[in-house]
Amino acid sequence: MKSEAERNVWQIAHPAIVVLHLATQLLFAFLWELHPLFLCGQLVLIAVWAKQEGAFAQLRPFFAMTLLFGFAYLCLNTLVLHEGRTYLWKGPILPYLGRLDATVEELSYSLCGVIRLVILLLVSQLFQRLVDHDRFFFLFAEAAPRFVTTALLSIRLVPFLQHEYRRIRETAKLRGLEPQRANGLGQVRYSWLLLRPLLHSALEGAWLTAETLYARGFGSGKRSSYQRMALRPREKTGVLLLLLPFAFALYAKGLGVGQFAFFPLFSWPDPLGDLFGLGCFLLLSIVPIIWFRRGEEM
Amino acid sequence: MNIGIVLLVALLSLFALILLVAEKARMDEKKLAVVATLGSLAAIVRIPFAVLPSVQPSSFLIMLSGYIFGARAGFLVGAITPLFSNLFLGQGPWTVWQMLAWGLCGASSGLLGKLRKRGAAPLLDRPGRRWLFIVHCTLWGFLYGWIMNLWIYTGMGALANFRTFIGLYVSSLPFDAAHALGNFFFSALFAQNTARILARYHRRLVIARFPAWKGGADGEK
Amino acid sequence: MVLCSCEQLTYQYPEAEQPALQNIQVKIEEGEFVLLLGASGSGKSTFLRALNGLVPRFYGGTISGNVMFAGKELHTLSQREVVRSLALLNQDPERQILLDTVERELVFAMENIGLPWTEMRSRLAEISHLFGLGDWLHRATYTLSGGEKQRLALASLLTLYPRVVLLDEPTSQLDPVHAEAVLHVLRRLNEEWGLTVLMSEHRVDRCFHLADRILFFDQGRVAYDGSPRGFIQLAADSVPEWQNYLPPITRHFLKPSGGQREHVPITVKEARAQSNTAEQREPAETASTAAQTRAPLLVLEHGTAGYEKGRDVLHQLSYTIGAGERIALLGENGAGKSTLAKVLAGAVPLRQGTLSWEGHAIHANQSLMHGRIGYLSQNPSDYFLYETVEQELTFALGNPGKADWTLAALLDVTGLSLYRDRHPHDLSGGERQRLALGILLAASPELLILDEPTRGLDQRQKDKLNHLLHQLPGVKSTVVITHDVEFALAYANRVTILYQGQIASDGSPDAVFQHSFSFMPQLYKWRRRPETS
Repeated sequence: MKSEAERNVWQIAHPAIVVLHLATQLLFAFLWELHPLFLCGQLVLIAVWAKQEGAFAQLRPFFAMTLLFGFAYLCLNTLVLHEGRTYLWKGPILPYLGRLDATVEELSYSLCGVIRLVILLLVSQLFQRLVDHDRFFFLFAEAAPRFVTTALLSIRLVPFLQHEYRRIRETAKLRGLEPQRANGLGQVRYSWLLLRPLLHSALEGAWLTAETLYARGFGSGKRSSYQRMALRPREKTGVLLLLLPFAFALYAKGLGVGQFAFFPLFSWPDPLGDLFGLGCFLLLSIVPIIWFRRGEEM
Repeated sequence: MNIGIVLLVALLSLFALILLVAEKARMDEKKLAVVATLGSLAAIVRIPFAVLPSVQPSSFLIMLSGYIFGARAGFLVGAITPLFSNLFLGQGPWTVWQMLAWGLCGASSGLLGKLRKRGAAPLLDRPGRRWLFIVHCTLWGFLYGWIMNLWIYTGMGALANFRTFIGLYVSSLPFDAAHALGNFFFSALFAQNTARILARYHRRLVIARFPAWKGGADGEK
Repeated sequence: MVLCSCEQLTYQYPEAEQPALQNIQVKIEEGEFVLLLGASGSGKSTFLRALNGLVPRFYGGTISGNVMFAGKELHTLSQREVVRSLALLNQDPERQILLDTVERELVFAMENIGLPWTEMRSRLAEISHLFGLGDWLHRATYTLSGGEKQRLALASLLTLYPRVVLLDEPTSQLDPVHAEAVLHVLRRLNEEWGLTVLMSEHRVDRCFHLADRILFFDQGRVAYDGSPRGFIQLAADSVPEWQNYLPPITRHFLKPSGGQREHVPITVKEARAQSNTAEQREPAETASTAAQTRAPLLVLEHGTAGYEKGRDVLHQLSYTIGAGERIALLGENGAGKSTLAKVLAGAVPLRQGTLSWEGHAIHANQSLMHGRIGYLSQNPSDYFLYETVEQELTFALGNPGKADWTLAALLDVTGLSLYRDRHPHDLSGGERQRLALGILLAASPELLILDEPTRGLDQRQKDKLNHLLHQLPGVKSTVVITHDVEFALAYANRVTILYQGQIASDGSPDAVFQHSFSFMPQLYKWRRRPETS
């Protein structure tokens, strides 16, 4: 659990509210289908927001991996789809997959898909940063108390078992069991050999843990909850503000804004109208975010 | 709409359903304590392998837990494993998918374990059972990756097309193969001995199950 | 009123050959402080668990007879009712802490029994005040020490406001400071709030005087049920083995030359009140021999070591271990005892200073050490890698080392010949320790270091260990890290006290204990003459 000073304004709020904010962003990513303009607009919005929240710090590890994967998929997708007219390359015909080809339309379609993937990644990165995971987890405590307790038990045991493993390793080292050469397979076998006493010790201790669960009345009936998460009026207003861009999007879609087709050829009926719609939509999306962040100053 | 979303919603509902069933089933404290312990261990063995993409001994451990302690226990162990590292080391957005994939992994191993005769010890001493388990582990190396891929699939918004499905799975093949290969090695090398250890503690749970009252007017409880 | 009672209680664990409890007939009154004594495995733990229903509900097995609480049969009560009346505290603090923050741990039990929020808040305030936990509420439980964890576990149980507290060796894993804190709380709970306390304990020197009643267990039967004075009387007159379960000061006074027998003291204060004359406080006969210069075995010079960057645990420590020494290493938690032991064994590298063995310097390559130094860690189970005792010892013998031992000889010296086909994890605590010792001996060490080997052992086991340490073939010197000063008195011929990574006191037991204040066995406390200067 983080101390009060470390938490940003989002983490102090009720976790469900924060999740709601992020979920609407996810919704928007899908609402506009794969419209390049809207997707790019949303990408910019989320990127700026993420930068503001400092979410870029831990980005690199899985971000790069997923992006790599996304691009690999992009290529394969392009080859396998059979839409579009503007051919870049015509390849051989394969038994089940048909002809491998690459058209500009397919390529740009898949590229938009990658953009959406990036948006999803950034939203999840924001989730890591903005949500207090502890309290988020407790939201489910009412619905699934046994699971939550078991999970918390498990989380609590991890540092303890790591400590036990280090101790076992030290003992083995003192006995002279550690393989001298940095032999890959040998090291793996050695590590697993050390897991045996750890397994035994951990499982024996599980019995004591179970006795303690019994002694504290776990499973004796309906539970109450000490955690109380208040919903401040400010947060409630924030949720209402979320409805603004949502309502606008539905209205705009009804009016025919945001239409874009990739196949068989690019067709964009109303670029200027879409631009205008995007502008309004982005402005309305920013409102709840700014409203929430200003809670910091209060 | 996007078929990816449909699939994901379906899978999430399945997850919620199984979780609630496990919840209502009232597993006793001893089993829950064992589940929590095994979940922690599976989380711990992940850490040194974080550098190698996809290769994790956790899958093997989860499947062994399910095989020996039953489908419900296996499901819970699988669902708990990603929580520590994902919550504390911030490893990514796919926690729920991992919970799902590993949960199903553990649960299916529990079903595999049911194939043995009632009352027999859940050991892997017979070569037949052992190889069945190893094959099961290897297959799940692929299955796991395919469940995880749905995440990407939705994001990319591919047209609902069987060919694009294939494209997706082909592109993830190297990772899934690595996972499956890792599972194969772990289960081939370590399954038998580890199963013996887990079976010992399973036995303790089994023999503690039915206390008997002798004499007196107390009757059964 | 009678709170707990058992009638003809007999219980046998599943797959056990003998019943663990035989025909127990006991009545516990409300407000009593009952001390359970007896050898390890005599049935004390089983009895405690029978009182709160864990046996047989948790363990299976067969039970006959009645267990009653407040007039009702125990198995007719629901878990909730049982838990709100009877609390059980175990000895291992680590596995009794369930959650990751102190606050959550404290409220967990209350949530489980479904108390309303206001009630939880009020009880939390009360217990927090009683234990002084106000500053701790947001600490992560992982950062607590063993003693703090045990206090937290006790506090968490007390939020249920039970009427009876059952404790199974609650202080055996704790250092003396925290042990005293726990006992102090229990005494207050019993004296001021009238909580009934049933406690089993081996270290009777700190709690014998608290008891209103003694229950002595012997192989599953209650061999004595009555007042402490009566117990002492019987121990003096008929059953000398029972004297092992008396505080050292009492034992001393029961010796033929020890003084009056009418009113044997059970505390140091009583002893002092009785024998104020100087003649009766003779200097002690200890196990020490005159200080001789001994051939140095292992020499540490100006050693500095630590675990974290920038923080040293040992500061410029110089220490010499000679042949023929039996050293007791004492010190408070964090003084550096384990660190020093690990440095000597070669597990922790030195940041400064040198280590030399029989004159030859030992460098970073510690591969020489395993043949010479054996280190027994606090958890003997860490050593078990195989499935039978025989396999473990055979593997240990197979490792590079001098082949001075045979399997049969090892089994013999550790007393495990009958157990050669047992699974190591089926052995009891004392037997596991002996097996680990056997594993170490197989490498024929010349210096043996044992880290807290006496935790949880009863007096007879400690005597056996002491005896074993006196006559290990091939071992020239031993070092025992311990908190148990009574054991140190019996075993050592040299005592070293560490403080903050440096030596505070070092010499023969008599010299060190006479000038000590807090590291004093009971007999020395009694004999202590205040410094006149």
